[in-house]
Amino acid sequence: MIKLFRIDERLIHGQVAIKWSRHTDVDHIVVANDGAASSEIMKKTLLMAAPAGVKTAIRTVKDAVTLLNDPRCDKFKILVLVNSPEDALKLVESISGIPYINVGNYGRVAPEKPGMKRSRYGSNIYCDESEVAAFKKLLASGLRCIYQTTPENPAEDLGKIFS
Amino acid sequence: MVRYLIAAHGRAAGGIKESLDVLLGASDQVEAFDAYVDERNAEEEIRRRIEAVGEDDILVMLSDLPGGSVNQIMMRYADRKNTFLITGVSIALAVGLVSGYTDSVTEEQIREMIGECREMMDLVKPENEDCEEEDFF
Repeated sequence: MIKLFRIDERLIHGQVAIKWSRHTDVDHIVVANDGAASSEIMKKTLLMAAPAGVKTAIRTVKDAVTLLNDPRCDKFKILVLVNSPEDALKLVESISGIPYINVGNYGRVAPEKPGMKRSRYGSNIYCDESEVAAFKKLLASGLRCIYQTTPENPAEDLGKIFS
Repeated sequence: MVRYLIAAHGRAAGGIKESLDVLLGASDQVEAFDAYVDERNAEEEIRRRIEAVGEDDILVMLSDLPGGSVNQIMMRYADRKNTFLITGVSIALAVGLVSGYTDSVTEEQIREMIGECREMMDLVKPENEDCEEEDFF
């Protein structure tokens, strides 16, 4: 069972390891990211950041779909992490049981694309036009999207942020 | 309620508080005092913050260095009721305490947290890290 589905460009880090994993009481974390899954050092870095006692898998998006569709996952309390709206959309289209999409941090780690400038949409969300379009496509899937960095921050409707 | 007071030389205390805000969200249970960055009197400022803590609250003071003047000032209040003084504050320790203990905290819990955070100070060698993915099934 997916307890939390989060878009966070930093994937597993302090806010996720300390705050969200406890807040949602998860026992498993699935990171769906092609770059991380194919790099030993990135994998290691993320595993080091994972909270103790929470089983963590770093998979390509494709393999994450297979894993999350395994009926044996039903009994787990899972936190799914992606770092982009594009990857989120791929998962939304291929797995069921996503309660809603939580958006945490976006737009301050990956460099800006050439010729594209990011604008600020929230204190932790910065997007260029193509990224806004990707988030809007995700919103069009009909799943509820909430912008909330930590559980203490107010939950904001992502649609309103990009309207 | 647990009240935290962080004080250090320069802007480290305010900096740790800012880190806590980023990591945990803003908390009004944490006070910080940056000593010797302006004309304010360190003794006076620390005393004022301690006196503002309620009688039934637990006060956890965190200073930067055991021999430093900030710790020396705080030591004068260490025998106050429901009060703890910790020196050698780190971000990990501040995060661990503030996120873990809001309503109450005991000496034993503080000692345990200090032990855990001491372990976190480490030389990182990726080749020595033995964190493996565990099978889900």
